[in-house]
Amino acid sequence: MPGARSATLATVLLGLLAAPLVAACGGSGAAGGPKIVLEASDDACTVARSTLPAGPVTFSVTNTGRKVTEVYVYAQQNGSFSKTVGEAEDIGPGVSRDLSVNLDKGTYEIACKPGQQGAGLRTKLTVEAAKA
Amino acid sequence: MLPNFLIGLREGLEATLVVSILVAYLVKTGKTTRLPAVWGGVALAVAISLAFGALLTFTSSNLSFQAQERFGGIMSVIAVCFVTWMIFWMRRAARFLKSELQDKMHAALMMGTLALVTTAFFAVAREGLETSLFIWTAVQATGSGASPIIGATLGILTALALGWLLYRHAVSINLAKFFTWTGAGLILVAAGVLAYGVHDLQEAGDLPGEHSLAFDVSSAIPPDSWYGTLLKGIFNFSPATTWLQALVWLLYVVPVLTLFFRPARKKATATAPSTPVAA
Repeated sequence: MPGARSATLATVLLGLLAAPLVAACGGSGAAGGPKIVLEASDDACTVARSTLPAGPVTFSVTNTGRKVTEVYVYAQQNGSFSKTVGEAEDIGPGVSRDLSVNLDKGTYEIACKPGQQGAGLRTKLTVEAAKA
Repeated sequence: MLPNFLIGLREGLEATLVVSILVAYLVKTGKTTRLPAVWGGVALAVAISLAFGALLTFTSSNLSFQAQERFGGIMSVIAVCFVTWMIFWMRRAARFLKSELQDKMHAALMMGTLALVTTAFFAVAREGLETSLFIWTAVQATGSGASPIIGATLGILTALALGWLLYRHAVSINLAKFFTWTGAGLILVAAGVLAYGVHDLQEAGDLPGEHSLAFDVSSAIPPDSWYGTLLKGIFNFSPATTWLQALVWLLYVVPVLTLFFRPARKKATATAPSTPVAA
C-alpha cells in the first residue's frame, strides 16, 4: 500500500516541521509592543527611538542601501556588546523585514551590517523598566 | 536587483544540487518510477515552507530569533544525516550495477524508496523557511518597486537552471565517474550544511563559541560578491567561520571521505579493465 504509506509519511514530516514552529509561536509570542522604524542604508543605521520600555518590540527594518544587509540586536556580555538577542538576515535592497525581540531592562546595541560583514554600524538603545 | 538575485541564487542552489543528483541517479539506474517520490518530497517541503513563511510575514504571529535559528540548525543536522545516508546508499546500489546481480540492486533500491521522499523533503525544507521568508518579504516590498521580487525570482530560476545543467551533465557521464564525483561532491556539500547548522545553533545560544572565529576572510571573499555567493550556495562556505564550525566540518569530512574512498579504490581496480567498454 504505497499510497497509505506515503500519506503516513507526509503526516509525520508535517508534524516534525510544525512542532517546533507551533511551540515557538506559542511560547515567545512577542506580538504586540511598539513598532519601531529602523532604516538601514550602506552608511547609516537609523533607529526611530533610542529609549524603549521593557517588553516585546518589533523593529520594522527597511534596507534603503544598495547592499544586502543584516540587523542584529546585541546585549552586553563580558564587557562588550556581543550577545545576540535578535537578528534579521538577508535583507536585500528595497526590502523590509520585521525583527521582533523581547527586551529586558538594560543597554543594547543595534548593528546594521551592510555587505553582511564586520562589526556593523552601531546604535545604542536604552531599555527602561516597564511601566506597570 | 543584483543583490536580491544573488540571495535567491544562493538559497536555491543548496536544495537544487542534492535534488538534481538524486534525480540523475534514479534516471541513470532506470528507476524513473521512483521519481514521483522525490518530487513528492520536494513539493511537500516547498508547500509547507511557503505556508509558514506567509504566516510569519503577513500575520502578527512571529518566531523568536532563537527559535528560528534552532529550527534551521536542527533541520540542517537532519538533512546531513539523510544526505550522508543517500551517498552510501547510492554507492551500495552502484556496486551491483556492472555485475550480473540485478536482483540485488533492485533490493537495494527498494529499501530506499520511502527514504527518498524524506531525503528530498529535508534537502529542500532545511532552508525552506528562510527562503520563503526572503521571498515573501520581497513580495511585500513590491509596493516600493518591483525590483526585489524580480531579482529574487531570477536568482531562484538561475539556481534551478544550474541544477538542470548539473543533471544533464551527470546523466551523460559514465557511471563510475558519476558515483565518484557526485559522492565526493555531496560529502563536501553535506559537511558545509553541518557547519552551517552548527552556526545556527551557536546563534541560538545552544552551542558555545559564536564569537571565537577560526578565520575571517570576509574582506577577501565578501559574502555579497558573486563568488562568495557561489561558495556559500554550494559548500555553505562562511567567510567568518567559528572554531566549532571548522572542527565539526573536519570531523565530518575526514572520516566520511575516507570511508567513501577506501572500498571504492578496491572496486576501481577490479573494474578498471571494463571501464572503456562501459563508457
